[in-house]
Amino acid sequence: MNDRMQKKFKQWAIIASALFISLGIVFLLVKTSVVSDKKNDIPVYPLAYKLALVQSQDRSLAFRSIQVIEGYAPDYLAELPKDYYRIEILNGERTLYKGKIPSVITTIEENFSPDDETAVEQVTKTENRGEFDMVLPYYEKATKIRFSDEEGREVLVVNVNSFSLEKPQTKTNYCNDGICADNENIFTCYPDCSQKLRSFFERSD
Amino acid sequence: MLHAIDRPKKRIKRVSPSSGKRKNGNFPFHPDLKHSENYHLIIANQGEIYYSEDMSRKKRRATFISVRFSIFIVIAIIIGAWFFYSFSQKTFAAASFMIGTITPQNEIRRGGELAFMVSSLNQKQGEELVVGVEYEGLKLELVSVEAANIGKVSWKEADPNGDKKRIVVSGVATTDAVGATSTPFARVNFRIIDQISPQGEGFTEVCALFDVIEGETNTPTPTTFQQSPQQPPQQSPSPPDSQPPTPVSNLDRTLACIPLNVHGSPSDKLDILIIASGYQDFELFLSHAVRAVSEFENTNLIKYRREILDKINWYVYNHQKIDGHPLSKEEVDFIAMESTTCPKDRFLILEDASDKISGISKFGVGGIVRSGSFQSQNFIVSAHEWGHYVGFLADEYLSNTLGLGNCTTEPSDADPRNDPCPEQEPYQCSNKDALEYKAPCPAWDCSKIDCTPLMKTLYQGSGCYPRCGVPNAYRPQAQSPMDRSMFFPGRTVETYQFNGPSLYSIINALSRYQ
Repeated sequence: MNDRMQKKFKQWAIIASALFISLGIVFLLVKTSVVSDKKNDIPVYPLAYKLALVQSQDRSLAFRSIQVIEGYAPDYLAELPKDYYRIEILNGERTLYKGKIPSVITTIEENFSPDDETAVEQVTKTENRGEFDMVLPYYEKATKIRFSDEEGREVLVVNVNSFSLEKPQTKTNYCNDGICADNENIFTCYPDCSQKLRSFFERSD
Repeated sequence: MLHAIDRPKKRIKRVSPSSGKRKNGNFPFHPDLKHSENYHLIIANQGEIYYSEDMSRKKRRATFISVRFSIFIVIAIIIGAWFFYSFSQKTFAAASFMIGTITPQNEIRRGGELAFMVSSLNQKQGEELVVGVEYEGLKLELVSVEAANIGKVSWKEADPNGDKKRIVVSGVATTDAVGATSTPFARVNFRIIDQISPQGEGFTEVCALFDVIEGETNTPTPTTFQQSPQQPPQQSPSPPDSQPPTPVSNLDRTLACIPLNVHGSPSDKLDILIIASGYQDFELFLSHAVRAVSEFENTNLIKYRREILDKINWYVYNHQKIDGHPLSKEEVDFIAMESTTCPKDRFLILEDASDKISGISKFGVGGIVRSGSFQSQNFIVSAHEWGHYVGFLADEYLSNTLGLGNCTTEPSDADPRNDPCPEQEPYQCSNKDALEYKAPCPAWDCSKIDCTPLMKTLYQGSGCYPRCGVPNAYRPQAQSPMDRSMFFPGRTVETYQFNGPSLYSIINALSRYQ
């Protein structure tokens, strides 16, 4: 009986040890490879929505077309002080993504002349966007894309699931392209993601 | 008669063949019993069954034991490594140091200097001395750290503790100090930027020591804090703890999107893609790209790495690899506005035009810098344009355009009238430290507006100087990267320091990035 209990105890000790080691390996993998604590639920794959929009003089927006393309989309996380649209990508009423884009383009052009300190030409202009394309992160489960102004008034809604969007075969996202994409980590693509390991050890010091 | 059959499925009972004794079973020993490598010999003879010693069981048992042993070894190594790591961390106890003020109490007042002396106890010659100094960031502004009694000290910023800022001071003891004798180690000079009691009561509470764990990152920076506002900044080496972009020679030209200065995943950072326009020489373009990013190391943004610089990834669009030829203007425009090959939240087009010192910025979209802007180390046109297209900053020189957070139209109560740094001959500042400019404009006066803790910290020291885009607007600092003083002989240290409201605008713009 004692022998049996001893054997059972040993077996449980081995199982517990293996579990401990496994958890440690998982923890290490998570901290060094898996992207966590994102502020936005940015999708993993290098696919993006490409929207063709038209802005009127009154800054209302009209939809022209949408397609799914391959590539990196801006994340539009910058906080804009004024003159912007809010963008939300929704699955039903659940927000998958939110960001901001400028609703007008303010351009400053400046030509300096150090040989003549008095001379500087500076031109500032603010223009509506007119017809423009924009690239947004792609979400498999997105149902609509909503644009609203600074006061929160809805400006445009694009019902994504009313279009049959064909996903292209991705080919530009590959290991050794210089980008540690969200679907890469230091184990699957060390050349692109070695920065993550350095950052991990710097943070843990 | 011996019969060899497959190993029985039920639990094997062991019988020692040599002793002839029964063990764990009821079957007697048989003289013809033989050991088997892989299977039990079950001997049926006259209805009796005999089990031989199971060699495969022996092997399995041995394997089982070795696996368990290996697991225990691994665990022991992990635990041992953890202990080694823990015990290898030397702690420099603050109890080995003491701190006291050296500024006379009757001289302690707002706006004035407040100096502390950090002394070491029980030091030995040649011993490395490291101590942490924590101070109230809202009450004190660090001016300098100087060696007191030893040859040289160095210091570096450490992670803040809430409102309390921290630095780590280190040096090497040049003498022995045994027993209760204290030896001056470092003098830490502050400027008081907030109200404290007239008698200086409680001022010791604004500064304290803390233990430092060896092995923290970043090498120390030099101690001397050159206050020479009349001298233009020399091209001095970057502070040792700065993180300049990858040198040109180390850039990986096999990559489609060449990382120039990358701090994390594209989805967590503001990604700025540098694109070549008009460059026939790819290497020249790369050198200019590095130059464009290196400019930030010459500004005060290096003090805000976590809040600003480390939130930005810089990539170079490798047109040599992707397109195989210098880019046309149409191609450049397409890459800037529409291409998705590389991460791109903003673009920076570098235009090969050595005769032009100019830039174009589209707020929140991207910028263009012409290569003549790189002809002098004093010019930081790339950083200036970045202030526009990332920081949403306005020009502070006369441009007939009223800007955003770094300009305001309401003067302070002092109502300053004359610009102390006029954009005319002799292009020098005069009297810029006069009291009439020191009071902040109401837009940056936390006694008049509701300020967040970040605003309180950044708006400290803001003044009110006439001229900010238009003559009747005001800027918070006499000179900055957003004016034209970088081109004038009267440029000073301030020329390369973004002022508080500008920093607030930039930090706020990047607040959602990690």
